[in-house]
Amino acid sequence: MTHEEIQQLAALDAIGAATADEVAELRRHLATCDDCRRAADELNESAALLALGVDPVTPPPRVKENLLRDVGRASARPALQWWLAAAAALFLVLFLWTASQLSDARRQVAQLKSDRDKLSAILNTAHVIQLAGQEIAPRASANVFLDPSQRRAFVFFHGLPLNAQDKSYQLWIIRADQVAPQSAGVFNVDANGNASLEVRNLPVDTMIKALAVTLEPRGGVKAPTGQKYLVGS
Amino acid sequence: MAQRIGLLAIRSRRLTTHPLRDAAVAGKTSDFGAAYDRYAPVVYGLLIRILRDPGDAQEILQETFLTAWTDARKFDPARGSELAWLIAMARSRGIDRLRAKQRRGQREEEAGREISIVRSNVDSAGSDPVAFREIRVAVRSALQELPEAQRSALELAYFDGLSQSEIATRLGEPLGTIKTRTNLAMKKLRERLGAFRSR
Repeated sequence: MTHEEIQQLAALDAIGAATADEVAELRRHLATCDDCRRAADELNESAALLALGVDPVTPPPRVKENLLRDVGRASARPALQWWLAAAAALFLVLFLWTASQLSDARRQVAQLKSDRDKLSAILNTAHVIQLAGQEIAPRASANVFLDPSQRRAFVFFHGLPLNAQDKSYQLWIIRADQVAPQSAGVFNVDANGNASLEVRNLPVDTMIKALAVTLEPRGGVKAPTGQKYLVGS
Repeated sequence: MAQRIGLLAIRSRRLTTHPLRDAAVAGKTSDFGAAYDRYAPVVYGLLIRILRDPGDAQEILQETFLTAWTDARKFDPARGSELAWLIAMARSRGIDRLRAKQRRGQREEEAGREISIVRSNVDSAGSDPVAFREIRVAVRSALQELPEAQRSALELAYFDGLSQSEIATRLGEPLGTIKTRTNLAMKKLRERLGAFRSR
């Protein structure tokens, strides 16, 4: 279509006389043609001025009253929408937080499953040493699952007294080939007196003569100084 | 000097302010009410002419101004005056209502009954802004200058919402002839009212 033909369509459209197809064709053209869009705007405004050729009629006052009442309500709406938006945002944040927690939980479950698999692999071949509570903690106990093939151990402690803030429990390995006990890790117990520890780079199990747990200054020490809580061999 | 006065006079006839939009954007209800007072008689007059039913016309009038309040930011002054924007919204709603009523076949029986009420409300131009009165004179004289056939093609489309083929059928003329007449009429209107458009 030529610009002239398009402007003829615009003239029809200005008074609502263009067909749907013509309107569609016009809109397509106007989207890319500034001259025709300007002409269309002028035609639209000229058509609107036709209304001024009609006698003006004063509407009854209640139309204005109703309008201003509705306007007041419409103005109140943005505030409501603001609250809705805020609520929606909060919901979204909570949702994302929950989703992230859920994903953390899934990761933890996956981790636990992997631990369980490792553990069951160890248990099949493990060499278990039980540690017994000493005088100071007669109810305490621990199971040490040694995995010689990987030179590691999983140790589960139970029933130990809650250690003070400035103290830590320390696991010691007493080797057959050395006099001095070797530190195998430091741990704190939970409110139930339980703890677990994974020990890596263990000496080969034939070298392990015994294991013991002492209570030491927080962070542990190079050589045991405190009382023995658990001992086993 | 005379030329400058002439230019100023022409400029003053253009509808370049937008009190309705400004009031709505600023959320000033009282200013919006004042802008309503300025425009409502023109818009209501148009709706009465289209619908011939004060109840329908008042409903659409209220709807149109409420839309102007909520959609004020959509009004683009670069594309025309805010009165033209209002009129276009009102006309399109008015024509939709008219068609819906015609489908229900109500118009004929109501038209005769309401006209007398409508006429008694005609504004004596007391509150009609001077600028509008001036445009009114220009629009009427432009319409008067059109050949009768062109004027009726234009009015049947604009005020009665008839399609070009409906007009052709009603007047017993070929569709092409009606389209040509409408186009010629719009072309003249665009030329004659150039001084009153917002740009």
